[in-house]
Amino acid sequence: MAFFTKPATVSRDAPPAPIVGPLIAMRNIEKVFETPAGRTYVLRRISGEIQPGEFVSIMGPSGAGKSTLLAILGMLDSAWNGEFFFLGHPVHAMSHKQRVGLNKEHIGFVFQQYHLIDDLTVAENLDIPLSYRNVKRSEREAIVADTLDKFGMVGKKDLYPRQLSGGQQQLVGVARAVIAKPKLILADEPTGNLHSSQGREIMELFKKLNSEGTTIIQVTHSEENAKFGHRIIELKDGWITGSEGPVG
Amino acid sequence: MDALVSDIRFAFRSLAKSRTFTIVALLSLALGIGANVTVFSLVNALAFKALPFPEADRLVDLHEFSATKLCSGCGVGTSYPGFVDWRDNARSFSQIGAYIERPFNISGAENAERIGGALVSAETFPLLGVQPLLGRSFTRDDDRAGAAPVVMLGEALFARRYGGDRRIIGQTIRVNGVPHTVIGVMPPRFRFPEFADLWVPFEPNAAGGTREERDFGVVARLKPAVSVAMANEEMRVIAKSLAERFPEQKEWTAEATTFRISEALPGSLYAALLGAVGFVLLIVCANLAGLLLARGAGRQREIAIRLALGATRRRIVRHLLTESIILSVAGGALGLLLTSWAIEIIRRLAADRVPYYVTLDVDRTTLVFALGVSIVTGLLFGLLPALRASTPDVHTTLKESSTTIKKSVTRGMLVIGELALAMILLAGAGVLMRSVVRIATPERGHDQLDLLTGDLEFLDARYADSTIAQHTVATILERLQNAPGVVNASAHSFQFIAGFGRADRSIRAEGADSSVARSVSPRFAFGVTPGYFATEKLPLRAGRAFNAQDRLGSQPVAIVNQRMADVLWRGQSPLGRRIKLGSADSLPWVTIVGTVGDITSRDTVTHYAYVPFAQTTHNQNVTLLLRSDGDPLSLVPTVRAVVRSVDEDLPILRLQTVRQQRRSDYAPYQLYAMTMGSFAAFAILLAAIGLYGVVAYNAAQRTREIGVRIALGAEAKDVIAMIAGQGGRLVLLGILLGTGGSMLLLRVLRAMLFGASPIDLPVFAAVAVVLSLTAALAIWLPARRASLIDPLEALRAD
Repeated sequence: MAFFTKPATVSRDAPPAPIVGPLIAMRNIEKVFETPAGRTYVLRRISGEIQPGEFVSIMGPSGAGKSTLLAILGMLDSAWNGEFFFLGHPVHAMSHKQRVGLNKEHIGFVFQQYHLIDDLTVAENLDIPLSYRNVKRSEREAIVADTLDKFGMVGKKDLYPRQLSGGQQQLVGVARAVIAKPKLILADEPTGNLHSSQGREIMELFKKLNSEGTTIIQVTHSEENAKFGHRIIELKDGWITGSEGPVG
Repeated sequence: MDALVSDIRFAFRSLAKSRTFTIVALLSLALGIGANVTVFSLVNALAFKALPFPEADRLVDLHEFSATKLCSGCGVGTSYPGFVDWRDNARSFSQIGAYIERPFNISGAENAERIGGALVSAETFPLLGVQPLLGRSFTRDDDRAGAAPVVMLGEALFARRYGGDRRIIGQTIRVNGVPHTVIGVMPPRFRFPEFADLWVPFEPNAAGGTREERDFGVVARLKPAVSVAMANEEMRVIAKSLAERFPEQKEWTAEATTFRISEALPGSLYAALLGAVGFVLLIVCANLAGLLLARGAGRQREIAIRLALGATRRRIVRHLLTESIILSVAGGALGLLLTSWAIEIIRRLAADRVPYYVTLDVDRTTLVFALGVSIVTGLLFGLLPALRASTPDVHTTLKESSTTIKKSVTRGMLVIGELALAMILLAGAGVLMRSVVRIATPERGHDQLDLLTGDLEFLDARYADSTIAQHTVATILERLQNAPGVVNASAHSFQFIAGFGRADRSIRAEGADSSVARSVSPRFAFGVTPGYFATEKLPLRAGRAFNAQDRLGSQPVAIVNQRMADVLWRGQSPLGRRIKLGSADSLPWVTIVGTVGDITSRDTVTHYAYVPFAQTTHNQNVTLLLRSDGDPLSLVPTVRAVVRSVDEDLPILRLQTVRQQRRSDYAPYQLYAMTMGSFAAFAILLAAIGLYGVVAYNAAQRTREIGVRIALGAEAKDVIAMIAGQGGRLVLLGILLGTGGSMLLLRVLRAMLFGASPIDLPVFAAVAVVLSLTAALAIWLPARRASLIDPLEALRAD
């Protein structure tokens, strides 16, 4: 595995210039909780790379640290040790603001519980990521309309999440994740709440997005879903216990 | 009963569990209820509590009234002939007594002293049902012209000046320079009609006078079986017959009303104070209702389980209301404690301003009121949340996750209401404070704040000849002018131009239209000594100042302010022109010999007419004014010594600087404005807590959403804007509603604003800014906290 040299200085306000190479490079990522009973490791010495265009599945039993790793990759978690480069940017050396900036520019999330906003319509839910990215209102409307069209949801644009089935809600969740054209989609058990046929549709959608160039990292318990990806990283008790691929 | 006991037990346990809520609720209830009970006890004491006389409800106040001759809200008694007519003709009363409060100088072995006293007719004390502590009351024999002078003492004066020595009865003391025999001492605290501590008979001192001198108070006791309405009717009939016989009684009638002696405070003040504390309590209720709604939302699962286990809705409502009422009664008890402290403070502050019959205390009526208000308050803030909380959809509630967002329109509306009420209170206090500042702002044009002032009251019988008072003043001024440290010494007295009627209150000016004269006419002229203008540093603009040649018998002269002269004679020289100080033809023409600079008060020129003090005859009350070359108060011993050296029986009163005098004059208004300001501050604090609660609750409800938004790229500022936006809308609506409410309410309270406009845009703007800033803080705190939500935690919590 190749790693990148940490740049000498990092501006506090703007991400440093990108360095071409892997999308993600991790070296000795560790996450630990201090408890009265002592230190509890959630992740241990996680190292590795993910290349642009990969479709990686993270698997492992409950409590293995899968979702934690996903949160670190999504820059939602900053309390960890080690080195993490995203598109060559040293995330470990960045301020909170810089991480948020990087997240906004390159990452989309899909959640197991969909996490749509109950009081917003489908179209308004799709608009959220764009609204945080300084996109003009007229452009946003056009992008939302395109996305609705692309995902076959034009007829449902004014419905509220509670008026949709679980599969439809997750479809909106995926559409919302891709609407800002991220380089990376992080999906935390995206089919966990769906029945098998709905789950398969979502996975097909991921595969299509991946084929169009979007890197996808999913956490899943399902061997079947993992087969949609190129590679599986196995976690147990915070350690990487195996990495296999390409699969499928 | 068991169920009630169990509800009470559970309520205590539940309140003990939510300590922060309970403490906040108890404190706000204590302040809200305490403020209401305090104001109620004041109003009760001043307006409703029975007077300390046997069968006080059978006592009536008799007075004359005119819709045309009296200024609005002005009160008047009756004249001596009027009193005699009533006493001789009215059949509704078993006894009628007349009285008037007057100051007296008493002297004797001790220093001369000015005492508040009263003239009372012989019937007065018996009809009130009050017996003397020592000696006897006045008899008809004492109360007739030519009777030997007698005096009765108040218990306080008896104890203080005469050491409580019973041998004072039968001894002689000098009252206004005339020896009087002390015949009795009245019981402790008796100071009828309001502040008197000494009484002399009415007839020898008040008999005579015209029907237009309506100076006397009249009290009467109704005969058995005669009602106030019947007595009132008879008084009207008598007044009608008098009006037919006497031209000066035309346009006048007479009334009998329940005896209150006097209105201690104007009715609008009661209304404003009750309104303010009522608003505060409403805000407390809205606040607590909001908190309880939030608590109810948190307890929906518990209530759903109770309902699922068979509880009726009624039982749940009762259960929740028990908690509210326990809270409010406990808050009310704390409020009573605050009331007793507040009353003690008010008692001290207003010790010499409140009539003796007003007893400020927490009596049974106040206790009943406090209990009633507490229970009503408990119901008011508890009922809606209880009704709301008692109707959950059991199935959904038990199934739902704890983070389901529930919008609370009701809580939002409550907060809007709180903000609007707080805005109204703050605007009211703001306009009031501004008007107090306005009236307290010194006039421009003269320089009197650092002058030493003191009042002389020529009450002694020998001063009945006004030239003696003139001579005394002249001697005092001459000695003061030569005293070390005195730069200028002068004196002035008020010379009233008119009676009560608007038409009477006007000067007449030769060569000027009567309406123009009325427009510039002052209510009174100043009788001033020659050094007055120099003392006040009031510049002479034209002509001459007064001098020693301007005396009684020489040509009557006057000086007016420049603007008045300009208006009256349209810029032509006023010198040599003549005016009459009043509308009566019988008044002498007075020649203008000079003009002085204008005095501007609150951006308006106040018109003044000055006449030589030596040419005045009404000079029972004279004010000394002295300019010193250093600290004006350093002249106090000199002034006392000089006055004593001229007349050892003449007390000098209220010796202080003009600045001190103004401060004490405006102190009640300042206190009033500050009280309203405190209520407003408390209201804002409560509204801010309410707003904070709603925004924080809303943010907590939206934790998951915030987590999602952060995961989707929202930055701290986006989250703050989102959460603050909702609070901001409430604030905006509250301010709009409050502005409208303030404009309406302040119009109603216009009478209390000392002439200030109720629509005071700068005050409204300032109030909106203060409210917005406070609200911004109340919103920012929870919004900022929401922006720090850890998205991982938020999403995991789901």
